[in-house]
Amino acid sequence: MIPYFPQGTLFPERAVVHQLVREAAVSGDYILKSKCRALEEEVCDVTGAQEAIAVASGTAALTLCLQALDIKAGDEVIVPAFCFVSCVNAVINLGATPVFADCAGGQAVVGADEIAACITPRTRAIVVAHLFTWLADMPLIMSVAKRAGVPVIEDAAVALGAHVQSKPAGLWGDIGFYSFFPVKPVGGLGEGGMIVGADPELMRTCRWLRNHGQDGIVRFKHHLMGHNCRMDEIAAGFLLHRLKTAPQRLQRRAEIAAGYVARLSRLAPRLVLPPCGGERGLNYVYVVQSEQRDELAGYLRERGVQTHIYYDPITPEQAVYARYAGRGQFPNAARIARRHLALPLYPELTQSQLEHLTGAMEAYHAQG
Amino acid sequence: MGIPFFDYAKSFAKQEAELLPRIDAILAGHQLTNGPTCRLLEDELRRYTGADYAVAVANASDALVLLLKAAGIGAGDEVIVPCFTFFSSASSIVHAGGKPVFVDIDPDTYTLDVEAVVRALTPRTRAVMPVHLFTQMADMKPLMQLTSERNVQILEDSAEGIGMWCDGVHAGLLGRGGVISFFPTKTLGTFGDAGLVLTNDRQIAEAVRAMRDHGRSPDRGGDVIRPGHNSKMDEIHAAILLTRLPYLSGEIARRAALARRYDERLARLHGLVSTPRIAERGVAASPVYYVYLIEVDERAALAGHLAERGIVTEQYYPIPLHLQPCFRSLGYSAGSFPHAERACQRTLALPLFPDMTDALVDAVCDAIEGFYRQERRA
Repeated sequence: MIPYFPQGTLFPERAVVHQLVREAAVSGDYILKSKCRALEEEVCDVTGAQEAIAVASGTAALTLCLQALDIKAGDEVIVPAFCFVSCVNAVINLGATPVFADCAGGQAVVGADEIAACITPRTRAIVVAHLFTWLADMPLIMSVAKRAGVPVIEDAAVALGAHVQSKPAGLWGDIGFYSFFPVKPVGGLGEGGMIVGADPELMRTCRWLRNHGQDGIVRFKHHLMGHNCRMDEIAAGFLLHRLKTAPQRLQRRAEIAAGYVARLSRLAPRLVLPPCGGERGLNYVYVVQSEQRDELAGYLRERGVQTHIYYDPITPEQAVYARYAGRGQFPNAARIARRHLALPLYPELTQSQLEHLTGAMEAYHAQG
Repeated sequence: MGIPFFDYAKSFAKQEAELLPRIDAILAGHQLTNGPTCRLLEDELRRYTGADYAVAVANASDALVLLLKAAGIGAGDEVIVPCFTFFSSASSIVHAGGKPVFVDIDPDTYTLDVEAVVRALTPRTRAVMPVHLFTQMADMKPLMQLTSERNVQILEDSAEGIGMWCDGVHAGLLGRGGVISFFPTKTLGTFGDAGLVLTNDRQIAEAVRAMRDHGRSPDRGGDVIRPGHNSKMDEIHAAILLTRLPYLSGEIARRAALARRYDERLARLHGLVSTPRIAERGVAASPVYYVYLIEVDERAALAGHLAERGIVTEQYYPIPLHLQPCFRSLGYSAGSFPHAERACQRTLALPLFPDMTDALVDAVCDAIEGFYRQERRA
C-alpha cells in the first residue's frame, strides 16, 4: 500500500531527538533560547530574509501578522476561497470579516484580478497563499495591492525553498511566513512556524505578540495583547538539524514531480497536471484534476494507492463560513474543488512506488 | 556555584530510560501532533483528576481561550478575574472577545477576594475566573454559592492547580471547566509548552476538541463545526508528561518537605520575611507548593543580593494586570486594587523544585539571613 502520508520518516533521526531532549532537560533552556535564535538566523541566511521570528505554527504566524497589522472588528481581509480553513479562522478570531477571493482560472491559487475584485474601502489586508505546486503570481498581486494601499501577508506555509522568479516565496509580501508542520516540505518534530519580513515595526510587534506581548527584555510587563505562540528549543534544534538535509529532500520532491509529469502527461486532456517548476518551484503535494475524480480515487484505492482530497466543498460553501460568502461567486475554486486529487509526494516515495502508482493511473485511463 | 530557580536534570536522568522508547514509538508512527500519545495522556489525567474529560492543547493560555469560547463567552460579556495573576488569566478573556473586570486579592492567599466579586457583578457578568495561585485554591465554597445564585459560570484558571483538591474535587472541576499548564517549571511540566482543558461538561469538551484542530470535530467525523484555532499538543511533550506523571505525588510531597524547611529556617526572620500562609477554609484541601513565595519590604535589594550569590529568584508579579500597558484602555489606575499593588511590590519566589536538596534550601536561607545582617549593620 502506498500511503498518502508516509509513516515513520523521522525514526532514523531518533538519536538527534534524544540528544535534544537531554539538552533541554539538563540545560534548563526550554523555550525561545539559543536554538530558536540560531534557527531564525539560519532561515535568514537560507532565504535572504531581513528578519525571522520563530513561532508555534503557521496558523500562529498568520494570526500574529494580522494582529500586527492591527486587524480588528470592522476590517475586511481578503482570503483565498480555495484554502485550508486556518486562514479564514485567523481572520474571524480577530473579529474581522473575511472576504473570499476566487482562484485564478485553472489554478489552485488566487489570482490578481480576483483579488482586485474583492477590494473595498474596508479592506485592511490581503492574504495570499501558495498551494500544492502552484505559486501565486506575487509580482502582479503586489502591484494590485500597492495600488490599493493594502498590505499583503504572504502565506508561504508550504513554500520554504521555492522561488517566485528570482526571489524566495515568503519575501514578496509586506510580511510572510512558513510552516514547519510535519508533512510540509521542511517539516519538524511537531508544530512550528516562522515569520519573515523586513518592516522593523511589524516584525517587532510580531516578536512581542508571540510571547504574551513582552519585549523579551523585561519579564511580566505586557505591552501588547499577546499570545503564547512561541517555539521551544527541542523543536528549533530539530529544525536546525533538518535544514541541513532539506535541499536533498526538496530535490527528491522535484524529481518525483518530474516523474509524474513524464509518465502522466500523455493522459491529458482527461487528466490535468499541475505546474511543475523544478527544484526552484514548489513541490509540496502533487494535485491532478479530473472530471472522474471520485471514481479515479476509488480505482487507485483498490490498487493500494492512497490519495487525498483537500478542500471540497470550498470554505465559503461550508455551513460554518457561508455567512461570510455574501453574494460572492467562486467558479474557479468550486471547479478545482470537485476535480482535484492529490497524489503522494514525499522524498521517501520510491521509484517502484511511483511506477506502480502511475501504472494504475494509466490503467484507469486505458479503460476508456 | 549557583542555585537555579528550577532544575529537573537529576530526575530526567532517572526517567530517560522510560522516555526514549516512547519517543521512538512516536517517531515510528503516523502522527507527531495530537495523536495517540496525547490520547493516552488525556486518559491518565482523567484518571488522576477524576475529570470526565481532559483535552490536550498547545499551552494553558490557549486552554483558557478555548475554555472561555466553549463556555460561550464573547462580545459584550464580562468575566471577573483577579488582577494579581499571570497575564493569560486576563488576556484570554480579551482573546475570547470578552471584557476582563478586575478584582483585588485576599492578601494572605493571593487568590481573589470573594466579597470583591460580589461588588463587581453587573448584568453583563457571564463568568468568574478564580485563579489557584502558587500553592492553594481560591475560596471556592462561597464563590460557588454566590455564582449559583446568579446566572454566572465559574471558569477556573487552574493552570497551577494540578494536585490541588477541594472537598475531593480536583481544581478545574468545581465550575464549568478549568485548565492545567505543563509549562516547564510547573508542578507537572514538560520541556516546552503544553496545556490541557479539564471539565465534566461534555459540550465544553466537544467544543474544545474541535477548536484545537481548526474547528474540525472528531466527534463529528472531522467536520468543521465552528471556527477554530491551531492548538495541538506535540506528541513528544505528551510522552514526556506520561513519563513524569507517576512521579507527581512523590514530587508534590518533596516540594512540601522543602517548603517546610524554608518555613522553619525563615521563621528566624519573622517580621522581616513573610512566608506562605495557607488558609483554613473549612474544606478538605491539599495545598501544593508549586511556588514558594515570600514577601519582604526590600524586594529588589534582596533579589539583587541573592543574584550576586548566584541564587535565581522570580518576581511573581512585578506589575498587577490593571496597570499593564496593554490593559490601559480598561481605565483602572494606581490605587484601584491596593492588596494586589502591595503584593506586586513585595513578593519574591525562591528556588523550589523536587530535585532541590535540603542543603540548597539552607544555602538560600543563609543568603537571606546574610542580607538582613547586612541591613542591620547598615
